[in-house]
Amino acid sequence: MTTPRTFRAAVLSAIKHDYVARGMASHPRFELAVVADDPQVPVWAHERNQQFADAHQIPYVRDIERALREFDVDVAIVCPEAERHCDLSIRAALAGKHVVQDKPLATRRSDAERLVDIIGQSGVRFLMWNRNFVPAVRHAQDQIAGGAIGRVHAVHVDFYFAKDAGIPKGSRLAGYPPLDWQAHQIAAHFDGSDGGLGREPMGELAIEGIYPLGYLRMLTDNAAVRRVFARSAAHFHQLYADNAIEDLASVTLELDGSIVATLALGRIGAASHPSGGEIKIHVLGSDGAMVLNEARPDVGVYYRNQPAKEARARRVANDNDFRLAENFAQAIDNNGSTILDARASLEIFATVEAALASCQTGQPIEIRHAEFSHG
Amino acid sequence: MLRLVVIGGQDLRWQEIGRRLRGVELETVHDATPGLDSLQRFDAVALLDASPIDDVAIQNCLRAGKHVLLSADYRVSKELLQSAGEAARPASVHLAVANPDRYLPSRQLIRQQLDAGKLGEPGLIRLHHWEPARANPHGAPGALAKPLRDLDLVLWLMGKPPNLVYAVERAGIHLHLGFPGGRMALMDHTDRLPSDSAYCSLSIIGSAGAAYADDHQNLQLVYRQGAHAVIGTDESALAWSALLQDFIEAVTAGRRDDRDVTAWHNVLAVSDSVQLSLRTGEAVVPEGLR
Repeated sequence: MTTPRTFRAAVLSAIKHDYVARGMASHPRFELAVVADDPQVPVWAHERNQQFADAHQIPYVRDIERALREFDVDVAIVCPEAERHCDLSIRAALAGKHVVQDKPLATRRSDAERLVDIIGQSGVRFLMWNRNFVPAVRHAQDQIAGGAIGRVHAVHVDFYFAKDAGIPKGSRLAGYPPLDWQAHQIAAHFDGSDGGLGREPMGELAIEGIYPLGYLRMLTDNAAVRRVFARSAAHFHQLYADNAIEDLASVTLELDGSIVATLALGRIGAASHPSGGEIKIHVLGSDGAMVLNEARPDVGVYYRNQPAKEARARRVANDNDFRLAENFAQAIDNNGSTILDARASLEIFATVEAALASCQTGQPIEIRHAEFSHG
Repeated sequence: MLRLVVIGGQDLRWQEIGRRLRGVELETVHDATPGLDSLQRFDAVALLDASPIDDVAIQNCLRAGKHVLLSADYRVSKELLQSAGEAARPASVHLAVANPDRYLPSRQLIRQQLDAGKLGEPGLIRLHHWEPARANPHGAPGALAKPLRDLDLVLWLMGKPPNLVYAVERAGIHLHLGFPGGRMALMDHTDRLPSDSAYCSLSIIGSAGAAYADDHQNLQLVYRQGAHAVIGTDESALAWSALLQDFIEAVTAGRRDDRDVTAWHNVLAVSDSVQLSLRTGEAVVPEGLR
């Protein structure tokens, strides 16, 4: 029996969600070879990259092209701040490297479309990091595929992160300046409560919308979203209010196949759930229905003097990372698609864009999906 | 002691309900609507589910000095609210339009937490309400007839009516409401669940906390031959006894406000907006709210 090929990976900036790189490394077919970033990134970014490199006993190189060229890598794992996602992914693709990228796809549609175009032309594989292989979502997909509930009519997802983002809304005193988005995100990295790291403020629809919208694609056999109505607000945190972005949103989506979906999401504050946030999936079909708790299976852990922010329910048997890496490896092996490739990610981007537009207009928005000439 | 006759509600467990009530002599009539003469010996009349509604009879009851409780559903129209209100005011009697869903123990607890400020300002309310596929006992017309109580519940918890309504109908009804101050609600209702019992999940996310009343979490498991079963707790007797006790105490305390009437009027106004949104495919600003 031949041993499957091992892929060497360059981590292109580990300054945001290093769980992507760690997740890929959890699979025996992926080996982290080097961390790299551009030389002009700030000192704090170099420090984070160096820390990650040291923890994994691999070099840190302040030259992305050199790392891609000299370290015999096959894959680039892209985890910088959101506004650099496309740039680093494009550079990796042009160097012939398969790409695993953190969410969101991009901060601008033009960047997103360019990325999708170049991925298509280069022939490399692309995976947008997602949660589609968590056990609950797999159970739901299996039940649907097995006909347990008939034809899917409606999918409802609640996706809440019960995390704080600084002081509550309304608590900034007169005479104090608005809170700086990037400064907060850099500081919040300490306890993992940072969200959309970058200069540009990002609301929760853009930051986390890809996860529940990824579930929606999985459970509707990739039905396209055609119409979106949304509402949003900065309801919890001064940071979001000061930067005119939302920490709470609700979305109604109308999909091909007469499917309707709704989404409720937000960064709702640490006090609002004992274990990091309620994530539920409700599916209505022609012959039945399902209700799933996305966070299960879990184990409840309670002890004296337990820190308030420590989750009481801990997920177990969650091999999402392994399965994503496996999916990516198989896509490379077979020159096939990943579970969430560049085009699918662009559709999700367009959905989020339409939702944000609907929030402004107060009316439903028809979605314009980009056309690409190549496969 | 308030002498109260309840007309309708034959599916309810009156033994459970009646023994929980204080300050009342209760009589129930299930089979027919009694005439006004036979109601003379009562101080108050409650018209519940499955009882036919005669607008004129209700007005006559009110004018005759009887306090009246109407079970909130699609049969309580704007016209009935108007005429009943006009009859109640000069007679100085209490007119209540009561939604039993508000009195479910879980909903009462959530309301208490909101009133105590524990949850902060409500930001997003989400309600899933799936009912078994069975014949509608009222022959209720239209997709929105059943979810009116859901709508009332959401407006009651939010504390104000919406200023934007969007609706989609697919195997049930899906409502998306916008409220002043950026608040929002999502509601879906279906009556196609292939089950003997309903499913309901309510969550309210506030600026300082959240509450989750979820059947998923509150079901018990039974393993037996064949597929295992789930058992939920029937809270309806507790809800109805709390509703009736509230009515009894309102009458006894001399309450004569029209907050119930106003609340139901707004539910009906929002319902009109829902119908318009379904017809036009647009988000609609409700009109005629109080």
